[in-house]
Amino acid sequence: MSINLRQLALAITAVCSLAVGPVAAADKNIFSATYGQGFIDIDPSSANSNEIALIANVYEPLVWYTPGEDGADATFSPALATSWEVSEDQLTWTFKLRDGVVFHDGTAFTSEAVKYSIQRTQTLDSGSAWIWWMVTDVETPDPLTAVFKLSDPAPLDLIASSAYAAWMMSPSIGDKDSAWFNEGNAIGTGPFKLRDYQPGVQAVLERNPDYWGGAPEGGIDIAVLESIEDSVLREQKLLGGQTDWAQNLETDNLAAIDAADGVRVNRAAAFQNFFGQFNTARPPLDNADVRRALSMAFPYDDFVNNIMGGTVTQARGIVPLGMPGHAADAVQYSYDTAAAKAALDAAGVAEGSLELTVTYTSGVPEAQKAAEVYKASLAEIGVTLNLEPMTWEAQWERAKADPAAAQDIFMMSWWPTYVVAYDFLSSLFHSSDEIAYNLAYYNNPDFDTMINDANGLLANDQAAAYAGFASAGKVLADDAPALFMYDTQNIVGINDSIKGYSFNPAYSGVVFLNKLSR
Amino acid sequence: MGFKVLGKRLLMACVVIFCVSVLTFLATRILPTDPAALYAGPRASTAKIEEARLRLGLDKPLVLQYAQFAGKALTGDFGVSYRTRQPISKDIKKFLPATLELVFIAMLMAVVVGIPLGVLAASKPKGCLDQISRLGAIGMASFPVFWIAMIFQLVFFSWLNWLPLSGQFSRETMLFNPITVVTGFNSIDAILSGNWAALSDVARHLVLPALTLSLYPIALAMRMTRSAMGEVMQEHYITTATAMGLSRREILFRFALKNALPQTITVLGLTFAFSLTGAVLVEVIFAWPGIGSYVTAAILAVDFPVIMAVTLVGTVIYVLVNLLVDLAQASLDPRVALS
Amino acid sequence: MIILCTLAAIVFAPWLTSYAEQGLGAPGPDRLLAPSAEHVMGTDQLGRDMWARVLFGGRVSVSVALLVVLLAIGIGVPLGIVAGYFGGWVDQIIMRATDVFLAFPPLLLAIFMAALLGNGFGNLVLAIGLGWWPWYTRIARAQVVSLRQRPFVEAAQFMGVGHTRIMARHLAPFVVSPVMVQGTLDLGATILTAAALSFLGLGLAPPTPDWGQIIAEGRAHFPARWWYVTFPGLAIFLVALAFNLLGDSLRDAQKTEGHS
Repeated sequence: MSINLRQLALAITAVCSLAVGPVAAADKNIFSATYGQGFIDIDPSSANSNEIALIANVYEPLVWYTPGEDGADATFSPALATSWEVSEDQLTWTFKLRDGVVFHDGTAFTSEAVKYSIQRTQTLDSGSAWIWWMVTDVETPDPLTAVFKLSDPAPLDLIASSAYAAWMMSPSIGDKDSAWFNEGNAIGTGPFKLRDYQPGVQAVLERNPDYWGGAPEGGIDIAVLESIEDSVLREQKLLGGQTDWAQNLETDNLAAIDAADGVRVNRAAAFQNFFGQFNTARPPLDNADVRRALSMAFPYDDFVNNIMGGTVTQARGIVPLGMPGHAADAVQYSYDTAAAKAALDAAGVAEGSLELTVTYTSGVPEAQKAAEVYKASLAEIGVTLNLEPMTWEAQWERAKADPAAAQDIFMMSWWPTYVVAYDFLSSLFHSSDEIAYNLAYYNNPDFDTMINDANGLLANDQAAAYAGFASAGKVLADDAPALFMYDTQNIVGINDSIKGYSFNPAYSGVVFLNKLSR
Repeated sequence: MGFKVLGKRLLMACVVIFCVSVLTFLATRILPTDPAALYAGPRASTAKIEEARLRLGLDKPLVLQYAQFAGKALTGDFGVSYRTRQPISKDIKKFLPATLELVFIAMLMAVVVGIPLGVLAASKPKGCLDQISRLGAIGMASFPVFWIAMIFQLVFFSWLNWLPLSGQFSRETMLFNPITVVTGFNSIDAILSGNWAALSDVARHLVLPALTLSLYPIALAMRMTRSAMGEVMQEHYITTATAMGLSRREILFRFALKNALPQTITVLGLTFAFSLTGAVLVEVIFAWPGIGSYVTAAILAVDFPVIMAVTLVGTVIYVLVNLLVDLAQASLDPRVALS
Repeated sequence: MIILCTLAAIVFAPWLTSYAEQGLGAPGPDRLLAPSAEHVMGTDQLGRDMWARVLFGGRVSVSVALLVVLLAIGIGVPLGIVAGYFGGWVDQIIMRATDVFLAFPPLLLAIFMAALLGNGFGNLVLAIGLGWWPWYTRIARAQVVSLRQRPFVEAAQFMGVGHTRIMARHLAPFVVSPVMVQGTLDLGATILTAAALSFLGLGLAPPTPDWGQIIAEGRAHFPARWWYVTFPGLAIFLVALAFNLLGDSLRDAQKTEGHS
């Protein structure tokens, strides 16, 4: 045995010493980013998840969304459109297009490409294609003018800046389907071209030398976007210098990562939050007093500051802080077990009689922590909470099937398709016959009217629309159809040698490669 | 061995595979989760889901659905994965070699390390070496694979920094020194294309996952060889050989092992099975893009077509390997009849 | 020795720690503390005492393992006795069924079943047990086939004793010993399988202490907070080792008995 162990050790050292450095490529500036989830669908018409990390560098929209600094209003900055205007009746939007832009295959970018892209997305009708529901036609009076005809007034500049389904692609793609894209094909106008694509594993992008916007000094030549599901592996690769950027790091390790040489942690407010929808379709949670009592039984401070290490902030209502339409004067519940117990008594719920189930997606660490902590604090007021972790699909299917037999609390995270408070308010709490994401089964006609009215104002009078969303948000928070836990931050680890990284909350997970330099 | 017996065995294998396919098919269809909704993807409208139902043929009776599934599976078409949106056969073709590379190394280790150790242990039953190897083998078989994998990463990457943490090769190899795909096995392809820099990189990445995966097979090979040898060593001809003054080494390896070999061959079949499933855990820890990580991700995404396809392919490989092992055993030892 | 200590630790778990509630899931005040006199194995991400978690996790793991083996014996042995006793087409059907279940690579069937059934104690036991029973069927059948032609069985048949009674009274006792040995050996293997399933997220729902799941949680904290992964891993190793050693000794003892 000892002989063989020695031989084994010898073999290992031999292999190790064999390590001749691979062919160096000193003249190339390589950047790699490590994601927690693989890219699945890179068809710009239908992609609906973190694939935008790739798409936003290969394709461009007409308009970019740029969040305001320090509380200032957000602005829309020109991308492939240089200017735009809306008609008196709000039903015609005219976009002037950038001159001299070519797609990666040499096709010129014209109004025909705009028409093609919007119509392809509408025809495919997949992912977030619904954002264009009010667009009836795209007219092309000349190559550099695209005119959108609408059936209903809508803030088309905002919609055109969507993170999903608003990307411009080359008409030379023709009638190719999603499968063609997912074989590793892409024809956009962006600063990077797709060089190699392995679905779910990685994508290699290389600089597009013909990009209209040029390149920064010391810009990136090649970018590797890879996915590794294990947070500890992402962290180790970042610390070891094998990757330059990594997302979804374990919150408890952030201090150590920040303290390590050569890497820093970048934090920025995200338009994303985490909450638990109460089942309002069934007693006793159909009683708002009971829901308010349960909202007072979550240890917000301890969870936010201690368990999540200050990486998140306690939510105030459903629309995250920093998003237009956030309800700044909505009620924010605080942890008070005595008050919670008294409220339960007052609502006629006898101590020890209430048993609730919570479902959450297994493998999401913060969901598990939140559920475990909530279970313990509910136990203090005599409420039993049963935890049921399951896959997202199973969790969702069960919730949609029959509200009367469904879970009591549905925990999930939400972020908008394009930056509008209506996305949160309507998707999650608007009453509907067909259940999609209103998994609180919340049915409040007054609330529905409020948000629909506000949304109707969005194209004409943004200030009034945001005020409308805020007052609807206030009503919602008071009614407590959900446990509003926290708003998240976007937290990434990044190599110190990389300059120019900033986070745009409208495009979650995207590293804008053409802004980076080393 | 007669062809008739062989034919019967093959037929049995086919029946078993058929039953397995029916069972997995039924199991995935009696679930409350709607495959059409999964196929249509998140935020899909009811109309899209109904369209998916028609496209997948889910509106047809179960028997027809099974016939369709089996017919396509026979031609290697397992449909499209809900999660990766890629044809499953293409995915399997891409991920299977990475797993087999690990599995073959583990089996090789079982033969090269495990069997000789078993022979040595058998040379002096109840001796010191025998006791140590018994404890060693039982110990190796008692480690949780995923845990020992983490400990290896801690020691060889974090502390010693001898070996890479995870993956199949470094970023530089992938970008500037890519391996030409011939067989799909990275190490073999690197040799075939004479890409030595890549080969050393690939070898370095292989060490930890392969070592982790081989622990159990080595232990198994040691114990099985030891027990097979133990029986042979009590036979009269060994005693005779010893009396004739043959050297201990010659007796052990020329006579005893040869006669214990048929039983030891069984080790190969068993190690193959255990490595195949052990690979699931090893690949998760080492971010190894093999069939194990593929099926784990599929399970977490309720990607039934993939779960079914991998279970089926795994079973077919497993049944075939067992058949081969039985045949090898029969040809080595005429006393073992193929019943 | 190890077995006795482990079993004692598991049975007397509530008296071996002053953090029994934390062992069962209640969060504690101080998170992620390194091992100290107060917390000999440190604390976890919700401030729970790791020693208490590991102790109570042992109760869960060992009971899962015991139930899996009992379930496998419960299904497998009667089928094996029936197959061996009657022979013929009954034997054919039962043995071909075992072939089908054994055709699944081990663990893959458990993963498959656990994914279908979902989290939960009963589901975990069922998922593993379904792949395990065929081994006992084979053992029981082999034993019964060798006894079937013995005079005492034929005598009983001649005297008009019913089949059920012959199988239960005259044949079953002979099956006990080999099944016991295999069962002990399997306890180690089932503990490892259960740990692997919960590591993959197919185990018990939190906050139930579950070794595989604690390691999965601790993975994100490794290697900086080494105790999070190390201690539950060692616990799995020790218990599996204990059962494997015991099983191995029993097998040796049985062999010697058989030879004499």
